[in-house]
Amino acid sequence: MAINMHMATFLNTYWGMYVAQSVVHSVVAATIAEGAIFAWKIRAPHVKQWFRFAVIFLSLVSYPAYQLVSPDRGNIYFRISSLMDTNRWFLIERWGILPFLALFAVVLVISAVVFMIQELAPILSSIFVQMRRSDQTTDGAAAPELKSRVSEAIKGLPIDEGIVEIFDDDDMLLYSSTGLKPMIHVSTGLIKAFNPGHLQVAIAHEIAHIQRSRRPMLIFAYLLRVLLFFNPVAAIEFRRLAHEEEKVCDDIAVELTGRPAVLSEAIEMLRPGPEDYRDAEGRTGAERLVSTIEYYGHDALLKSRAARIALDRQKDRLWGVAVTVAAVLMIGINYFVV
Amino acid sequence: MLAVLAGVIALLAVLNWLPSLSQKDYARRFQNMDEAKKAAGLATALIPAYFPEGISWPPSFIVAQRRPYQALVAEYSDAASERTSLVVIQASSSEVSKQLQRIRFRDISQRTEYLLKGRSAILSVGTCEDTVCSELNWREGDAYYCVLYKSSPFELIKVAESMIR
Repeated sequence: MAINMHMATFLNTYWGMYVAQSVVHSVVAATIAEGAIFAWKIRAPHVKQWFRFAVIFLSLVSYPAYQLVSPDRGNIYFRISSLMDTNRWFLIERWGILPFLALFAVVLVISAVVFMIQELAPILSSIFVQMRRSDQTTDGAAAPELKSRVSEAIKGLPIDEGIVEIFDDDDMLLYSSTGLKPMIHVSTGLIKAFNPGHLQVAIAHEIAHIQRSRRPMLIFAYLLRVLLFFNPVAAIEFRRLAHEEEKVCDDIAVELTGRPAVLSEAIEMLRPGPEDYRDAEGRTGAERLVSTIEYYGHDALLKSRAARIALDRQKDRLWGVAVTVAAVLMIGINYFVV
Repeated sequence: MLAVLAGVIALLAVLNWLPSLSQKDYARRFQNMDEAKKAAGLATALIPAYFPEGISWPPSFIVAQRRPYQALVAEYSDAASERTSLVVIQASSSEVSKQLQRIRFRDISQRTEYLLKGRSAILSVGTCEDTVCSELNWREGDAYYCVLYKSSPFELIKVAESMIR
């Protein structure tokens, strides 16, 4: 069939090989990263982040780098002697189609659509919401008792009171905006629900986000992930990297306040309640499914964070060696995967 | 970590081998031209009848495939150096020669049209692997031919002409 020929021809172009090898290389790299984390019993979230970052970075640059070093890497002779040749799977023909290549194409399209809907659109909408919220700030008009609770909470934290902004919302919301003028935004609902101890550890967590934004690994990883919008493994690894970021900030919050149990309690209080799930049930079809998955995913993350803080946090030694060895193995093995 | 490494390599090797159970059309190495011709599904395969002095027979390396396009490549070595010296490629697509060529031009000094037993061919002369190289490309029905020889074009033309009977 003509379409099979076109697909097979595309697969042998530079961009065809780039897409195929980027995804397959990310699968191999992610497997090695998971294996290394397991084998070396890596626990520290900031170390796990480096493994995830290596997977995303290498998935983006491996193919062009290999081609630069060895331009003949895509030819038939290299493929015959390679460790794994993806074309062997992609060019299997059954029922008049190339089923594995078709399935691969479907996965890429779904990944790209999910990226647009779940990652790009929320970021754009959150920028819009933040702009609107900045107009609705009630900081000046906030009840004095709410302001005094915040003042009490930030005592002893490395922060000016001026960067905490209170906004009027009954939901328990807390987030920080970084950049030239970092701010911590806290809702009236959260101030009312939290006691001063909870409020202190929560604000300390946001201070950690601001401190870490000076070394923005997450932003850099996101830019790489945007370029790999078609790659489902890069999407998963980026999400896990972002989850690890929350855990890193939890650790910093504990260092700043010395109150792990209180932070654990505060996180437990932020877990979605039954009313949140009922909100998802009010929706229909795919929207309901997506909302339910999001609630469960969010809840699972909060639950694991709360449980982790309650445990003894371990510091990994010689983690630089572990990450370097894993990256070298990723580079070495993927060279022979075409 | 060594166990993880061994596991990943073993898994990739198995994944590379599995497709060959259901489909044998993909590029493989062959020991003789008849098997290779059959595997590539080619009705005709042009094989040189003339070989320059020093080129050893049979081919030192034969590879053929039916998918994604039909191709048959035969490499012949120089008897003294045992290095590939003559390459004959037959393929069903003209846009794939780069993927089939192990020896490539580093630079081309001259490219000209040449009439090869009544067929229009392109003769290229240049250097590859620090030696003089010449190459002839032509079309015969649905098949595209490429003959590359690590020497001047005089012997190359004799080889190419011996393929057309």
